[in-house]
Amino acid sequence: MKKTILKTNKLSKTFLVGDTQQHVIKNLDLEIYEGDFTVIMGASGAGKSTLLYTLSGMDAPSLGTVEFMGTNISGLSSDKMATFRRQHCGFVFQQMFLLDNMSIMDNVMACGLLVSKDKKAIVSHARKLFSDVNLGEDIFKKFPSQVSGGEAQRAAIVRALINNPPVIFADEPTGALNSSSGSAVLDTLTKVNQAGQSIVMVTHDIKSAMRGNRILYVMDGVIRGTCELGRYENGDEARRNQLGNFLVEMGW
Amino acid sequence: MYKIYMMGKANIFKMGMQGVILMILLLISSLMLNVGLMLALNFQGFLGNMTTELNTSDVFYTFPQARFTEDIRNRIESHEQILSLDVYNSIVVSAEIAGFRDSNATTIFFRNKEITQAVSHWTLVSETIHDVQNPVFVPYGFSTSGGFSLGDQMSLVINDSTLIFTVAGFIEDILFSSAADVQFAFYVDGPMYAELLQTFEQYHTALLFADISGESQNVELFIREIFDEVADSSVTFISRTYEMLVGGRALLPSILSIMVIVFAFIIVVVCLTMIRFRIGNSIEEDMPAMGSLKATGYTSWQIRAGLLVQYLMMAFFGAILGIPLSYIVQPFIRGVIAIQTGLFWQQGLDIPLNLLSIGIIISIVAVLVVVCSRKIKNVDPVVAIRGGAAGRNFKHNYLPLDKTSLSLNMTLGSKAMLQNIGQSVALFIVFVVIAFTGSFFVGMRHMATAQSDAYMALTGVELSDVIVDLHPSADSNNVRDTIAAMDGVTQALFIDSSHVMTNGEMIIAYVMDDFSHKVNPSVYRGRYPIHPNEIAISGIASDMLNIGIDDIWHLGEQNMTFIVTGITQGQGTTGINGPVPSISITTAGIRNISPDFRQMRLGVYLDMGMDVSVFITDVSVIVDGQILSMMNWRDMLEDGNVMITGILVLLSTAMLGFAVIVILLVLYFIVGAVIIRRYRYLGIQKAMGYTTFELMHQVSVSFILPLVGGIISGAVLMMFIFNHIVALVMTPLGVRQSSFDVPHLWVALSGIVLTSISYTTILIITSRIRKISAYDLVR
Repeated sequence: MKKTILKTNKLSKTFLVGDTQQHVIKNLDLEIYEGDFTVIMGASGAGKSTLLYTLSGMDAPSLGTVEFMGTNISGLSSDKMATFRRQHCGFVFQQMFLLDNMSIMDNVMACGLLVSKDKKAIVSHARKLFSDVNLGEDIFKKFPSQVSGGEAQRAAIVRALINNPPVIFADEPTGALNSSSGSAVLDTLTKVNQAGQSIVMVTHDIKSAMRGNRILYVMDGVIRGTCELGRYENGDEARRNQLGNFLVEMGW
Repeated sequence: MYKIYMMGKANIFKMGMQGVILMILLLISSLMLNVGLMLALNFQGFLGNMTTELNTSDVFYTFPQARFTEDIRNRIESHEQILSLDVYNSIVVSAEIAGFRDSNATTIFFRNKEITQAVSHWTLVSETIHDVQNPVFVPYGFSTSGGFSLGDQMSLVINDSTLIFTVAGFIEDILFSSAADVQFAFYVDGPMYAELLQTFEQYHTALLFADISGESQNVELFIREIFDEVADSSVTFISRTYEMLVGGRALLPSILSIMVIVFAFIIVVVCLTMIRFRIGNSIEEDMPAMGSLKATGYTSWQIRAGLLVQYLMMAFFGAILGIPLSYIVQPFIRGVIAIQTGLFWQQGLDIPLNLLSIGIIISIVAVLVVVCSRKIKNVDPVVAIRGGAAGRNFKHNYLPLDKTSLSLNMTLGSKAMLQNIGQSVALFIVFVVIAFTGSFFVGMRHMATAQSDAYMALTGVELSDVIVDLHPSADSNNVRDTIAAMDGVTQALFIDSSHVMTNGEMIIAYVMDDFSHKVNPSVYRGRYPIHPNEIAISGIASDMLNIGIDDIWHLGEQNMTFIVTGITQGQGTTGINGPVPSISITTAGIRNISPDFRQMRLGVYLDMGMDVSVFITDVSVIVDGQILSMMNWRDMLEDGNVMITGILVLLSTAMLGFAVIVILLVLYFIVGAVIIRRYRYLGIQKAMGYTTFELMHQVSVSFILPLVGGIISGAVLMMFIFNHIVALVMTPLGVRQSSFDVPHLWVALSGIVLTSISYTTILIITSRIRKISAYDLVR
């Protein structure tokens, strides 16, 4: 029996565009499980990114609740939410969003020092993570503008992992990368997931989605379908077909 | 051209509130510059016009009416320098005016308003009221600094008699209406004048108004000699020259104008710093837009012209709005001027001067924009379109987080400060300038209030408590010894002034037996004379005649040789450093030139707390018959200085207020701009889990060092050069050196207050960060 790490209850998110209300997420009941690599897919404008950021506490729901490891986080103030995020969430964005006025190491430290004052431990942990994502020490002192997109994204993954969050939220992490950089990033995410890290990732890229073990398809603000792919071993044809069939079924 | 105009206009709207703030600051600077220039360039002209309009005479002297015979008039008129002489009557008394002065040191010239004067007449500056009891028309200064209004009762105590008048109107004239002179003309109707004459017949005085050719000193000496021949009366010899009065009255406006203009330029410097900062930001933020403009064919100059038009429009509108405001604040300036001059200064519209103010501000802004926008020339369209990668290349990772021992937010704030070192330095300079200015006005306020003695000392006059003028037949030494032996007397010194001729020119000589007894030595270089062949000369004389210490000067008709031992300073018109060259010389020294010299004036110094009025009464009893007149000198000096200190307090308070407003506006501008510029960073940090408070702390830290450093540096710099600046500002007053105690505690306290206000403002502005959402990044 899998342990639920995230749970929504009648989750709704509405935006006001001009005088018109746009219901992006509608009465959504969803559970995300510990250790899973959950992938959220859907067409553009389906609400997948909105769902990701509402689940992660980056944005507040309009109605309903989000429970994170049994705690309702929906009513928290923005500052309490920020404190919650630093301890429980890691983020990987399509645009990386590294702070370009800081070195790569400082970007990681700026996140790590939010939770712990033990600099030595953070540095040591960061070094290990950098090594895990195949980034050498030469990158530590470089600024984000001085490294490749793939390196920057892997550094962003290290930043997301530095505080050992229960969940990493990734929003199109390979969207701005070329094929080989994208593969390296996906390999990294797969590796950390297989080490026990829960990941929730939004993508519309099938290659990326194949890394997940559970695919959620969002359409018009609701989960239209779920596909269980099992643990990722390699990109075999059977896995690709299973996902392809599911997506066809969903109207992809 | 139209495209460039539209680009400039769009840039202004893009600036939003920051544009409004910049325009407010430009408005303040234009307001102050226009006020300062009006004072500096127009006040003298106004005074000249008033003088012509009122047909003011060159000099006037008092003479006992009872002794002013036809024979004396003929003698006076026969003087070769006297071109015309008009004589009118007055009743000259010392009076205590309830609610205006504490002492009886005010000299009132009661005049019959029904007599029409051909020279030195007066004019009404207010409405008048009729059918009141004992109407009196008083100088305009009583309205602005005395608090009197039309219809108010005015109670005067003269020789223990109390007279009640009703203020029926306010007047102005050149010779008798300045509060600083402590001499006023009060105009009453014919019957009242006759009644006063009956009561105070002994004070019936002839006022001799004369137009003269050449220097007035010889005329004064001539008339004084005649006066002394017949001086056995209650009338005191008073002389005034137009030059002396006008010189004195124009001094405050010139000092005021210097300060206001300097403050205007300080604000302009602040504006320039902000514009420079903003242009730097614009180039960085709008790099893609600039790239696309270049790609579509705009030249660098056209893009720069857009910026130029933007700031010129702001400077133009800010400056043009400041001009009418400079006329709106006229009543305040008029009040300040009236305190010292007693004149109602009405500044009409002066278009050329207004255009000059606008032109100065616009030109400075234009030059700065052209210089600061040079970077645009180097913008490569391709790089710029790709997001302005060339805009900001960080090269040095200051304070690496894995090595620094500071707290996280402190480190991140410090990093931001170091990475934006140009902005930090600009902010530092702004705070140095503002703290310096603020501290100067704190020091000036303190100088005017708590250090009035030191302020009076600047004037160069000796600070005795009572001045005793001896009768020509008195035994001077005996009177001095008698008074010196009285209870409560610290010392009694002869402090005389005389005249010495040299090469046909008259030199004022200040004579003492021993200058070391002076409580207000005004020698600022060298020393006072000790030996009979030594003199000290005034700074103005030193400058005019190019004579310095150890130089030789020949004085007297026998051309006697004197060595210059020191240079003195003092207020230009009433002190030891008049526009006429003056010297300080020992009694033995003056007797070498004028063997008949007699010591006629005693300065008496009393124990602290002693009642001067009681002392004066006692002296008149003890040395009856040997004294011509006595003056409560200290009260007189203090009364005169109440006016000037009042003006300084008013001015310094207003300028301090302006300094605080400028700080608030600057912070709002710069901190607001930084938040906008760091919007993305702040969003990322929020996503990482930073709270609003932590980010506020970070942004505040990035400002705190320039802020605190600037305020401390500005205040410390001011402490070191305060006296130099005071001396510089008061140069027209004959001041060469000042030695005020700088109020360190007050300056420190004002620094703390300034820092607290600034930091609180920063926190308030940075609280906008709470509106920044991490989700905005990805939406």
